Formats: sequence, C-alpha cells, structure tokens
Amino acid sequence: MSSQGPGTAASGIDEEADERLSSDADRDQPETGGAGTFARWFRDFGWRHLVAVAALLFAFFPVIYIVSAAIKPTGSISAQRLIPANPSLVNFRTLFNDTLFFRWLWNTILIAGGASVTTVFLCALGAYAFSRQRFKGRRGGLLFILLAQMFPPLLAFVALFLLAVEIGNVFPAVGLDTRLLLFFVYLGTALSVNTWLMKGFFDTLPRDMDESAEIDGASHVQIFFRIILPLTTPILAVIFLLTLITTNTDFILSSIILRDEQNYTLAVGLTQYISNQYGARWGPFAAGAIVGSLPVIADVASEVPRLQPHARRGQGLSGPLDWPHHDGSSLYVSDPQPELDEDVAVFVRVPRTTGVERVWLRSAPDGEETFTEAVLDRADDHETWWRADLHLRNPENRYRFLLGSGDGRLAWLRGEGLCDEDTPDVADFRLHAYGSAPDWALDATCYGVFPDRFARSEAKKDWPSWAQPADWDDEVVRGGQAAMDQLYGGDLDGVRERLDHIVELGATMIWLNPIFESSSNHRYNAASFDRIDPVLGGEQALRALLDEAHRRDLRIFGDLTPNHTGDDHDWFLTAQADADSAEAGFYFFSRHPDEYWAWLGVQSLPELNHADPELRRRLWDGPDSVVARWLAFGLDGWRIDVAHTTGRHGTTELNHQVARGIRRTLQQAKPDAYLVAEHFFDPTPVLGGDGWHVVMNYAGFTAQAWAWLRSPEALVDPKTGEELPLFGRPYPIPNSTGRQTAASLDAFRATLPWQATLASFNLLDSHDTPRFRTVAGGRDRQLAGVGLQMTMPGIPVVFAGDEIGLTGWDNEDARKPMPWDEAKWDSATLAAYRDLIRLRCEHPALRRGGLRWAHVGADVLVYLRETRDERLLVAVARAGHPSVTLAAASLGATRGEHLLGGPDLTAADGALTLPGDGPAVHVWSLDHRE
Amino acid sequence: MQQLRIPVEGDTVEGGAIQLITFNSAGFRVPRYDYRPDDGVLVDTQDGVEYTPVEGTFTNAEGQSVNPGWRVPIGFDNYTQLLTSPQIRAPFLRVLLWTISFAVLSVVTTFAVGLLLAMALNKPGLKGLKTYRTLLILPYALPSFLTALIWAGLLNESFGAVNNLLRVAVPWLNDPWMAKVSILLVNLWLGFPYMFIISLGALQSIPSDLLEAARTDGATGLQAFRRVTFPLLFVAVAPLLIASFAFNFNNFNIVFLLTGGGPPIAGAQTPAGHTDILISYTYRLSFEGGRGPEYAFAAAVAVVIFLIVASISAYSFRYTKALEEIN
Repeated sequence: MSSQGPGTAASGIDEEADERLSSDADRDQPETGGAGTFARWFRDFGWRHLVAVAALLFAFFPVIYIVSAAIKPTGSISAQRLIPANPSLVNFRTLFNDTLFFRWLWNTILIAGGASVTTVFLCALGAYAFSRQRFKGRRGGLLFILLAQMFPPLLAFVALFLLAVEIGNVFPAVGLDTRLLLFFVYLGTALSVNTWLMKGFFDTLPRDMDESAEIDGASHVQIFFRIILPLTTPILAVIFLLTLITTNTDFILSSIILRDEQNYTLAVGLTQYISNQYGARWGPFAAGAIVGSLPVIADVASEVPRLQPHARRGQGLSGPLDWPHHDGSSLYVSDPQPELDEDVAVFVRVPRTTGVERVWLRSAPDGEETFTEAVLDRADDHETWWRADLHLRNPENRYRFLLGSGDGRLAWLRGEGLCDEDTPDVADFRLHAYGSAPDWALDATCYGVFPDRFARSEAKKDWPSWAQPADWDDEVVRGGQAAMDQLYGGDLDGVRERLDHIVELGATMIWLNPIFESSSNHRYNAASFDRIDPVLGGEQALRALLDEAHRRDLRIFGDLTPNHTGDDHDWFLTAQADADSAEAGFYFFSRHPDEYWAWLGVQSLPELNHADPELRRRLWDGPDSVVARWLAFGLDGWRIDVAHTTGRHGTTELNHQVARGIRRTLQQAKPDAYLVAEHFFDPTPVLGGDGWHVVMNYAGFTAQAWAWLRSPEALVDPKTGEELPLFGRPYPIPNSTGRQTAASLDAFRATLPWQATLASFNLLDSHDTPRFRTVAGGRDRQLAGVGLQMTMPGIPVVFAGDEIGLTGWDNEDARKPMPWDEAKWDSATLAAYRDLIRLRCEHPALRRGGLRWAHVGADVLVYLRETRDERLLVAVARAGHPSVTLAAASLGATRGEHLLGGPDLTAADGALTLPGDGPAVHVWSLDHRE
Repeated sequence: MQQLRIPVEGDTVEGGAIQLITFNSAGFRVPRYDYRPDDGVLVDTQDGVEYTPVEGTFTNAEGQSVNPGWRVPIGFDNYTQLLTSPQIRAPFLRVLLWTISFAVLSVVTTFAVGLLLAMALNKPGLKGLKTYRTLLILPYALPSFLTALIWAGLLNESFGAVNNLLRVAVPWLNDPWMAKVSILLVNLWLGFPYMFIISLGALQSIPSDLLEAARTDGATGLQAFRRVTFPLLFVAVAPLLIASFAFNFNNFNIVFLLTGGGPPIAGAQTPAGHTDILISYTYRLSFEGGRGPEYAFAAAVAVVIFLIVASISAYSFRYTKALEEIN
C-alpha cells in the first residue's frame, strides 16, 4: 500500500510500534519465584493496588455502615459493632409501618420517570424543528432557550413557590402540594437545556438523508419517526438518564412544592422522617436509604459504559478499520454480476472520524469522465454509508470515489485503497457486464491431481516404449530427460478409487493435469487431443471417473495446451509429412519440415498458429472443437496451459482472440463451465473481460504468501546447493513484512473485477512449483499459509499431497507419488486442512464476503470478511507477535466467537485484544454492530 | 355576590349594610375603618386611631398595620439593603465568601485526589482497573440527598459512627470551622470518583510518544508531568472543572441536608449560618425566616446568584462557542 490515507500516516500498520509494545513484557502478575520478583511486582503494580483499595475503602465506608445499620435489630445509631450480632429485618418493617415509604417510592418513580420520558419526547420534537426547519422566530427562540438554560432552575424556587400558590387558586389540580405541579416544574427545568443539547446533536446528522426522504415524498412526521429517531436513540437514552438522575436527586423543589405526606417523594419523605432524630430513627432510615438507592444503582450500573466515554482505551486506536472502504462484494455493490445498461448502486462506508462530508462517484461512460454526487444512505454512531448509482454504459466499467472533508481535504478511494495524491486509473474499481465465472465456482474448493503420481489402480499396464516404469515407492528422478520418462503409472481408475479421500478433505472440484495421450509423464506435450492416454485407462476410465465424481457432486475440469502440441502429435506428424496439408498451416514452419517455432525453443513443443482458421475450428472454435467436445463428454471446464503466451508470436498477437474464442465456445457448449488460465505474471491485460474467466493467481496470491511465510532460514536446495528462487526468477524468494504482503495482495486484487478475484485460483503450490511446506520450512507456517488460503477471496487449490505434509524442492521433487500408507501422513496437517476447508464451506463470508484490513503488523495480518449476514474476523500470524488491540467501535463488535476452538474475544474498555501467538490462524465470528 | 350590599335606611349606624356572609346567610355589617381621601389616612371608627400608608400597608404610630396591604414598587431597596444595612450585609458577605471558597475548594480537593488516584492507576497491564472504576462510580451515583443525610448521621456528635469509631467527641457539624471542614470532606467523598474517571480518561488520551519524547530529551518524571502531562490534561478537563465549580456554587443538597447551613452566625439579622451558601441562605430566607417569609429579599439574592453564575457561564461559553450555533 503506497498510501494509507490522508493524514493517517501508516497508523495501524506501524511495525516499529509493534516492536515497542512487545518490549513492555512485564505483566501485573505477582510471581512466587523469590523476593526479588515480588519486590519488583510491588514496585510496578502492588502499591497501585493498595492505593486503589484505600480509595475503595474510603468510598464504601458510609455504604457499609448504612448496610450494617439497616440490619441491626436496634434502630439506634449508637450500637457499636459493624457486623451486628443478630441481623434482622426489623428496621425494614418499622420503616414500612411508620411511613408511607412505598407511596413515596411510587411518587418518585411517577414524577421523575414521567418527567424524563416527556422531556425526551418534547425535546426531540423541538430540536427537530430547530435543527431541520426554518421559520419565523427560530433565531429568537433559540436565543431564548440558550438564555433560559443559563438560569439555574434552582434559583427560581421563590418565584415557583409564589406562582404555585397563585395557580392553585385557579386550578387546584396543579396547585401547591400536587404531584402534577412538580412534574410540570421538572419538565420546565429540563426542557430548555435538553432541547439545546439535542438540537446540537441533530445538527451533526447529515441533512442529505432527510432531504432525499423529503424528495421521495416523506412528511416531516415520517422523517422524524422513521429516520431521525432511530438514529438518535443513543442520545435519547443519555438525556433520559440525565433527566432521571437530576430529578431523582432533587430535594429543594420537591420540598417546596409537596406539603402533604401522601404526596412526598422519597427525598422529602426520608428527610422529614429522619429530621434530626438520628438517635431513634437511624436504623429504619438506613433501610429506606438502601431500598431507595437500589433502582438508581441498577440503572447507573447498566449505563456505566455510556457514562465514561473519555475512559475508552479503544478510542486512541486508529487503524485501517477507520478508513473509508469499498470493494466489489454485495455489501457495497447492489448487483455483483450486472447486465449491460443496468444501474448498479455502489456504496462506500465512511467512518465518522474521517470527517468526510461529501462523496462523489467518478466513472467514465464512453470514456467521458463523469462525477456523480453520492447521497447518504444510512448512518450510525460510528460510520456513514454513501450511495451512488453507476450506470453500466459499457461492458467494462472503471470507477473510483472522491471523498471530501469539511475542511477541504480531498482523497481518492480506488481499488488499491485510499490515497490523497492524484493517480492514474489503472487501479480503479472495476465492474464488468460480461458475465463472469459460474456461480458454483465461487463456492468451490479445488484439488489438483497430477495423474501419473496420484494413485494407481490394479489394472495391468502396457508401458509405452519411451517410459521408464517406476515402482510407487521409488525415488523421483530429478533433472534431465529421465525426469520426464520416469512413469509411475498412476491412472484415472486410481483417481476414481481415491475419491473418498478428496471428498473427506472437503474439496468440491478436481483439476486434472493433462490426460491426453503423450510421450511424457506430465503429458503437456500432447500426441493427440482426441485420445485419452491408454496408460491412464483411456476414454472408458475417464467416463467412469466423471460419472462417479458427478454422482458425488464433484466437478472435474481438464487441462488443455492450445499454445503447443507435442512433436509426435497427429497434427504435427501430418504437417511435417505434407507441406500442403491443412495441418501444415497449424504450425510456424520457417523451413519445412525441420525448422519451426517451438515454445521457449524446446523443439519437442511446436507452437500452434492461431491465425489458421482450420486450427481454430478444430481446437477451440465451434461445437466440433476439442474444447467443446470434451465439455460435451462431461468435463466441467478447462484450465488453459501457458495462457499468457498462447496466440502470441512476434507480431502475431492473437492472445485475446484465443481467449475470447475459447470462452465463447465454452459458453455455448456448457454455460456453467469454468475457464481458468495459467498466468505466473500480472494478468491484468487478459482478465476480467470476455476472455478467460480467471487466472491461476500465482502473482497475486502464491508469490505473496511465499514471501511472507517463507522459512526464516535460508532455503538451500540440497541437490543444487542454491537458494530456492521465486518461480525461476534470478533471485531467492523474498522475505516480506506483513505490510509489504498486504500491499501486494491489495495491488493485484485491485486490478481485477471483484467477481474474478472470488473465482481466481489461490494456490500455495502446484505441480509446477516446489511444495509450499518446503518453502514454509515446516508444518506451522504451512498451516498459517493454509489459513490465509482458506480465508482470502479466491478458490483455494490444494495440490494433492499438500494436505498430508508432502515436501519438494522443485516441481519434479514436488511430483513424488502420493503415499497411501497413512502412517506416512502428517495427520495433524490433514486435520487442520479439513477444519479450515469445512470452515470455508460453512461460512459464505469466507467465500464471497468483502475484505477489509483490521490490522497489518509485520508478523500478523488481521482482516474482516463480511456479508450482510455474518462478519468474520481472521488473524493469520507467521510468528509470535505483540497482541493486537482493536477498538470495539471501529470493529463494530464487542464479542467474537472463535470458530476453530481458540479463545473467544470480549471487549474490555472498548477494545478487543487478540492473542499474540504464532504461527497461528484464528477466525472469530463477530456479534453484530451494537 | 360578595359585592352585594343592601344599604339600610333609618336609625342604624351610618354606612352599615346587609351583606352576604356565607352562601346561605347574610348579616348586618358596619365598616370598621373610614378612609379620608383628603390626606389618604385610614381612621378606626371605633377608637379613632389613624393609620397612615407605609410601604404598602396602613400603619399606626405603634407600628401595627392593617392587613391586607397592597403592592408598592420599592425599586432597588432590597439590593441596597443587601449592601448597606450592616446586619444584613455582614452575613450576606460572609455567606458569599464561603460560597466561593466552598466551590473552589471542592473543585480543587476532588480534582487533586481524583487525579492522584488516576495517576496511580494509569499503568498499562494493571489488572482490575475496570472493576475499580465501576465500584468507584457507584457511591457517586447514589442520590445526593441520601448520601448527605447518611453523612449527617455518621458525623453526628453524640451518636455518629465516626466519633464512635475514633473514640472522640468532635463537634463535626456544630462547630463553625469543623462544620466547614466536614462539608468539604463529604463533598470530597462525593466528588472524587467523578474526577478520577475524567482524569483517567484524559491521561489515557495523551499520546504516549509525547512522553517518550520528553523522556528522551532527559526530562525527569516530575518535569514531564509539569510540562507535558498536566498542561495537556488541564486543557481536556478545564471545561469540566468550570462546570463542577458552577454546580458546587449551588450545591444546595449537601449544605442543607448535612448542616442545615448551621451553626448560626451570632447576631445576624437574617437566618444565616456559618456553612450557608447563597442558595441555602436564600431558601432559609424564604421558608425558615424567624420573622416570616422574606420572599422579596430572597428573590433579590437569587438574582445576585444568577448574575454570578451567568458570568461564569458566559466565560465558559466563549470557549464552547455555543452562541455561534444560533443560525
């Protein structure tokens, strides 16, 4: 992330701050290990507890005495012992018999409660008028209220008393010594100040909300009850409580107005009762004080959190959760898979602390820059949601948001996040109307099967002449031609027999590496696109596998190499034999028959020329093509090998046409088939349009996971004696911090439409790479990576053997045969895989929810996956780290239930503290916003 | 009906008439007083004593007056009296002085204790802070009329728990000075939890890097507190301290229910006590005056209080900019 937001330089992702915190290792925990440690504990903490206890004793001394006096059998104050010898309730009985205690209590509740409720209602009405309407006398009215609330109502008691006498002469019902009069007096003392208070609060609510409601035809009454009141519930509650406390505490006004014992409130009644007769009436009075305090204590105790806003530790924390956010998930986009010409509502959530007051949507229909002002859609205490309509004028649409604060600051919100500098449009959000990957794919978990190495049936093999047959337990040969000739004889029947394992793991789709007949163990050099390799069991075995898999709701997709064939391919042999054949046009012969263009110069892999119409027809264009035929046979989609270079040859640039053509054929042959392209690099140029659905996200996920989770030790391949490179690049796998990792994940994700992100292949490794377990240096970090894989947007792909802990230094080493002797499995790894995959299956938020960073530390990534219905907080740590504290207000949650059996989260002092262990994966289900 | 008079002709007393006494009875009535319009004097028809109009009532030479009187504008007499009449001015000034001292001392003591406590407990990693805070707010939340009465009992000279506990006979509430100390102590008890909570909040909101910077620059703990912590803290809590002052300025409950304003100031013409603050003084003027209620005088004192409190409010408004919101 090159930019974290206006004015919040790197807060929340400050790794140095992490280190600082971690040095604060001392804890408030008296140790028993020797005098030295206790002295240290006492110096740091112990004396503070002593001070606190002293303060508590001082504060509670009268309370204790009152309780003691109330249960002493003698009502006299002079009895000495703190804990009475024969506790009894006789004082309570005396109180209730001698006085009208319950009548007084009832009067208090009636008057104070009634006045508080009425105050809240009337003040809200008045405040609404003053805040939202413009009328003659408004200014004067406000000024009057301001002045009136400056005059302490207490001081008016002389006037009130005289007034009461006069009123009583005319309307005895509200005269002196009536409860109704006291109610009105309390109302009068509370109205002006609270109207003023509430008007100030109403003013902070953005006016767009009610204005748009007004445009929609809402009356003031509707706006008031439907929009304003629900939003202001917290302040209403506070004002109710304040009024209740004030009226409940009042003595002076009630003692002036109430004369008859029948009408007393508790304050007057108890004062009159004790009236200097401390000797005789102390006990019953104490009893009355206790009973009279109970409602207040209960009330205040429940409101304590609300009454101490200054003391919220969480408020000091600022992090990515406090930044504005938008992504392509359904929380923010009304229709994630829209049609052309549709109006799609897009939303931005803006925390109030940002001070953002205006929001515009910037789009470019037909290439013309267009700004649309967003309207406030909804709001709560913590954040506001803005809405704008994006009209899908073109199939490809990019958009971003402009945010303006009250003091004139501007910031952009684009796919890569927030920035306050001007940037070009490449990282804008994208919303396309091309249709996207089939819906089922978004929920899939994929299992990668390399047919020669996965499982071997009992079927007798006719070994091809080129093959060097190997026993299942033989070492894998690494390097040279021998590595490609070593054939273990795994087959499709073997896969079918092991479907149980795949289903139990939780996978829902299988990616089969090539299965066409060919003269190598990897079969990327097809000898035919028509024949399934007989070594694998032929077409019959594929039929059986597809049927069995489909019966178990597993989908299977194949692996096609439209870039090249093998040099023993039927087509190539024909082409070489006959320069005039149709097939001769399929290839790039520079000098027939021996000089031709081959992929990466490997002569056994002649490249296909997609400019040739006959090739296109045979390979991918139309219902008779290879692509369509095998889909019709039963495959559920295609993985396209080396898609980045397919159709590209010097000045021939047909990559996009090939992608589009394959997509079109696929759509016609099987509308819900899935199309994923191999892409080790930035896939931006080929994605998200009408070509490949998605790519294998090596660049945007695998490389980032490796760089963050690679073993901190040097990774030296024992065979080559060299550091393990990243994807064959001339440098070792980098060691990134969490910040770099999050930034790269964001940057690559930003280049894709959200739907493409969701359906992308998130691999930790594949048949083309070293095993991730080797890169991670062991199980712990491997599982951290699996945690990332299963909780990030994108289809997780498990390369067979990952789940039982296989290792491998390069692609050949990684292709070692799957051991089926369970004693050789790492069962802890398998269990973790199953748990995490199940978690992903059970929680739609992990598959389709929006993604927001909550905290980015050097060793820990914390993020939210959210849908309308559930909110999951994920923390993946590569190492132990200072525990992360998130403000409950920013998070919008006070509790988190751990979904993997770890510790639950509970807010304390307005903040949630996450465990600092690692390597670790934590997933919590958050309670909904308060 | 009351106005109905039936003059009776004949040998009756002049001016007499039959008049309704109740709804169903009437009687012959003779006016007691005769009004002489020439000099505005009322003459008793029975003994001929003359009553002249003095400040709204007809009064005779002995100072006896005929009720009811009528309203007379007396201008600023009540205010002038407050400042000139020695028997009124002296107790009023004493009460005013004590009111200000009481409000200032209450704020200072509660804030000092609350801040010290907050500083002691503001330590990262301290366990139980939340519990301490919750427990401390409970006494504060009790209705103050109850706590004041409870303390009045506890500090009672002959029966009170405090004297019993300490085995002394301190006249907590009956000695002029001790009564003042007691009121301040009780108010401290009442107010320090609130000050603790706001100080703790303010302390925790001070960015730790400022203190670290101070420490790096070689500041001692005391220097860092005086130069960094306290100024920042004060900015945050100053409005609350002003509000607290204004509240204590009119803290009627604690004074009236704890000491009743007493003990009385000897020789005062108005009911003024050593611990009376202006508001309780006003109350007593109105309802407990030995010479009958003095509503008018009490109202005058109330206006004076208002002027004082209003200037405090105006001062704090300059900071809250509340006036700017009127548009």
